[in-house]
Formats: sequence, C-alpha cells, structure tokens
Amino acid sequence: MDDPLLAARVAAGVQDAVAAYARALDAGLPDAVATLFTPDGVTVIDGQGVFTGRAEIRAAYAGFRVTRPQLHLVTNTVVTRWTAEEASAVSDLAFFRLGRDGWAVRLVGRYDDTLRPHEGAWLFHHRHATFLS
Amino acid sequence: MSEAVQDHSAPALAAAGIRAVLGAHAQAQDDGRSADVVALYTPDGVLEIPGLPPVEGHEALRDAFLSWAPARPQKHLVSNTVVTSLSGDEASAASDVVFLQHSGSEWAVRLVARYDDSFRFRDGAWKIARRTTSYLA
Repeated sequence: MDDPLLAARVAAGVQDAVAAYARALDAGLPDAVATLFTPDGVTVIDGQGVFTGRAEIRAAYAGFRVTRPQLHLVTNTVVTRWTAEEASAVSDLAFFRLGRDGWAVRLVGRYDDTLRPHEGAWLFHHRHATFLS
Repeated sequence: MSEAVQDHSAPALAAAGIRAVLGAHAQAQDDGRSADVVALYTPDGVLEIPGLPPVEGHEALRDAFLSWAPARPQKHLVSNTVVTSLSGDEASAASDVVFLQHSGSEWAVRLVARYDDSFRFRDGAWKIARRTTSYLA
C-alpha cells in the first residue's frame, strides 16, 4: 500500500468500474452489468438478495427493469485497501428517478466493494449495496 | 526535490489523494465519526461556513463536528472536484456538494454548495488546511 503509483492506478480502475456499473444499470443493460463482475463475482443487494456468478447476476439485473429515466449518482469513492491483486472501496450513492412531479431522490446508500484485476480491468469480486432509512 | 515529494505531488497522484480525502470526509461526517473527520485536517486546520465564525484547530473542529452529528440519515455527495493548484506540499481544489437529508418520509436536497479546499501534504497524506464552504442560493 506504499506505492503511490499503484495506488493511483488502482483508484482509477476502481473509479472506472464504479461508474460503468452505474451507467449500465441506468441504461438497462444487464449483460454489461454482469461483465463488470469477475466470473465468480457476488453482488449482495439489501432487500433483493445475493447473486453469485455472471449468469445469476445477469438474470437478477434483467429483473430490475428501467421503466422511466433514472440515475445512480455514485461518489465519495474511497479505496480503503489495495494490492496489485485486490482492492476494497467504499462509495456513496443516491438514486434519482423521474416521476410525475419531476426528479426525486428515491434511495440513498453505500456500496462496499472488493475488486480484482481480470483481463485488463478491475472488476467487482464482491459488491454489497446497503440503503439508509 | 525528494523522490517522495515528486511522487505525491505528481498531478495524477495528488488528485487521487485529494479525492480520497474528500470522500473520506463526507463518509465520516455522515456516519457521525467526528474523530475521523478531524483527522483529515492539519492540526491548525480551519473550517469556514457562512454565518458562523471560523472553526480553527483540531479541538474546535472536534467540538463542531460533534455538535453537527447526524440526527437523521444524511448524505453529502461531493463531486466535480477540480485540483486548481498544486505545488510541492500544497494544493487547492474546488468541489461541488449536494447535501441530502431524510425527513422521516422521504429524501430531500437540503443544501447545494461548493467546497474550496486548501491541502498540505503531511505525514504521508494530504490534509485539509482550510475548507471554505459557500452555499448556492
């Protein structure tokens, strides 16, 4: 964890994965979401379930249909631990959706992630979404 | 210039370090971890908030953040961070922030603001030397 160049590279890779996930999710692209996980990746979504492996993850996200404009705004990402083989990060999220009265904040929460490099990119090995209130 | 200074003051590395501080500050503040917030400031760090006298030094910062401990779920979303200056052990950055709070029945945007932060590199990490908060509208 003392190599600042490695730290910056890991942080950039983590940021890429975090942003790509939000965009794929909001675009309603479950295949793209699934490929952001390692083949044995796990996503835990409080209130929804635990989904393991790309096929299960793809099927789960296919069920989260995008029926109106929405946005997962993910920020405050902090890489809390890293090596060349694995990194942990914590991010905050707000989920906005367009309703009859305009945009509204529907959910606020946090992602606790573990990522690993896989075929040239940092991918989620474990992602846990928790929600406030 | 030492190798260590070259490392942390390289633009990409400084930006990564500064963004990590900003994220850690927001998360610790929203979690009510006042000591962790204060640790992100230099010992003589200053926090300026409109309508309040400046809060200066770790002890005063600790007292202030304790008094602002969340009474209900809240979230500071810090984004659009731009490192505006960088020289050796000092840097400045501007960020936008949206403050969300849960009313008991729903989430609402309570504040939209900007952080203008000055940083110093101390003890192997970037620390906030001065944070000036400006509210929009």
